[in-house]
Parts: sequence; C-alpha cells; structure tokens
Amino acid sequence: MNVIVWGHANPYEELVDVSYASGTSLALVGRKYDANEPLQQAPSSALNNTLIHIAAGNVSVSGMTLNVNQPMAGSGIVAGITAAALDAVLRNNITLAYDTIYSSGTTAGKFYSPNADLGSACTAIALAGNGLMSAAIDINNVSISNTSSAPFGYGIWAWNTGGIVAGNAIVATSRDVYVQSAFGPSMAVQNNNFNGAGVEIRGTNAACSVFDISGNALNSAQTAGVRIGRAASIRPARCMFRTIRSRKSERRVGD
Amino acid sequence: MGTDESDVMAPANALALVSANVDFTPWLNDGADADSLTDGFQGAFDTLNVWRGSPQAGTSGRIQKVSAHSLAPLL
Repeated sequence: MNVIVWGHANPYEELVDVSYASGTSLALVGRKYDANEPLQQAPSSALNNTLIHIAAGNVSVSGMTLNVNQPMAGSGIVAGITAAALDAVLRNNITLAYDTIYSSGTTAGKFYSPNADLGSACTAIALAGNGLMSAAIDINNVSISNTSSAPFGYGIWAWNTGGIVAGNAIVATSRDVYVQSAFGPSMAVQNNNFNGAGVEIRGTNAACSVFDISGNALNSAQTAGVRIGRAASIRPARCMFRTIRSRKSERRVGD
Repeated sequence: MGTDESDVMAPANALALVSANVDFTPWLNDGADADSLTDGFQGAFDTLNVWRGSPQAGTSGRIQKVSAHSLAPLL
C-alpha cells in the first residue's frame, strides 16, 4: 500500500508504528503541498519517543521531514528494535530515501538501544537485524542535521544488517554512521558526506562477504574520522575517501 | 518530493467534496471500483492520501490510521 502524506502549515504531531501481517508492504511518501513540507514530530505527552517505528518488513519512507523534538522524541526512524530489545521477527527490506531528519530542543532525548555500545544517545536512524538473518537496508539521500543544543549522538546506526548507506549528509556528535556486525551478503557505505563525527565499521559478521567504504567525504571541522574495527574473520574490504578536510581527522584500523 | 497542487487528488480537491467538520483523511486515490463482481462500491486501497488539514475524529494519528493497514482489510 502507498500512503501519500501531504504537507501542511502545521506538523503531524503523532507517533507512527508501522505494523501489519507479513506478505504486504507499505510506502510512506511525503509530498510538499502549498510550499509546506510533510513534517512530523512527537506530541508533548511523553518523553523519548520514536517518530516512526517499523515493526514490519518491506517498508519504505521517502520525502518525509522529521523533527526529532527532544526530549519528547529520542529517535527518528527505528526498525528491528522494540523496547530496547531486538525484535523476535526479522524486519527485512527497509528503504529510507530523500528524507530530512533534524533535531530540535534543548534537553537531550534518549534512544534506548539493546546494544551497550550505543548507550542512550539520541539517534536519527537505528536499524537492526535479529542476528540470524540479514535485514536488507537501503538508506540514500537522507539529510541528518542538528538545529539545537541537543544534537544527535548517532546519525545512522546499523547492527546485524546488510545493504547500502549512500549519498547521505550527516551531522552527529559520536558517529555519523556506526555499523556494527555488518551482515550479508555485503555492506556498502558510499558517497556520503560526514559532517560530524565520521564513520565506524565495528566488525563484520561471518555472513558478510565484503564491506565497501568508498567515495565518502569527511568534512567536519571538529572530529570526523574513520575507524574500522575487528572483523569476525578476514573480509575483503575497500576504504577510499573522496575528500578529507577535517581539522582533526582520526584514522584507526584494528581493535 | 515536489509541490503537487495540480494533482487531482491534492488535498484542496478532496476538501471541496465534503462538508465542514468532516474527517476525510485518509481518502482513496481514485474513484474506481476495485471489484465490480462484488455488490456495492469496493474502494481501491493500494494508494491512500493523508493530510494534516482534515478535521480529526478519534485519537489515532492521521498517518498512524493507515500505517497498520487497519483500513485495508482487503489487502
């Protein structure tokens, strides 16, 4: 099913939980209308919410503008995780394209990840496979930025997933993109603009035959870096950058 | 995604078809009968439209109404 979300002068103040039985699909397609973007943000009734929680497979979100209005919101789009635990059911084939996600507010919102490495930092996009199979993801041409004193800790966090993260522009304070246990058949991080804290690939699962970090640009004036951590076993890897102009760039390989 | 006021299914066109204070979101993308062999009009739920400008009945969000496929029992 395709759902066209038309823009309006006022935001959609609601939380979206995408859930339905397997065998179907959902495409949320934002459309500008009367010069207004389709803007979604959290209502003021509770704290640390996820704006779009994906609890189904075969879901795409495109053309949407998400205001992660902290502390009512603590994350933008989350798939494969429910209440700080991995979903028992695989959420496969998740596509996010041409979305704009920004943070606002002055008090940090929290995203409670089941992975201790992530802590509870506010996160724009968090996608996780269930550790048994790949959750194929495609995140392309998404803009992630901060407009507040409560910035994103992580821009895109992908755990136990395979797929492609390409063409995005990201500002976050801990990692712009953080890939943990990349899954199969491959993981590619290509042609992104890292405008905050850079990228870390922290290991590959045995099911990941190759990971490719190429064509990206490190643009931050602060902390952009690239870190490639220990893999479960040796994987073919390519790491080539288009631009490195960070004032304080870190390059670390190994663990 | 571009501005699309001229689209026949744009919100202003849907709004023009209903009286004041009527919750008209979501609405179907076209008026075709999806199943002519079944009595009555069978809407095509493959594409639905959502707009913040529609009055809202109930507590469910406008996007959430359709994101659980709750309005598409035929799918």
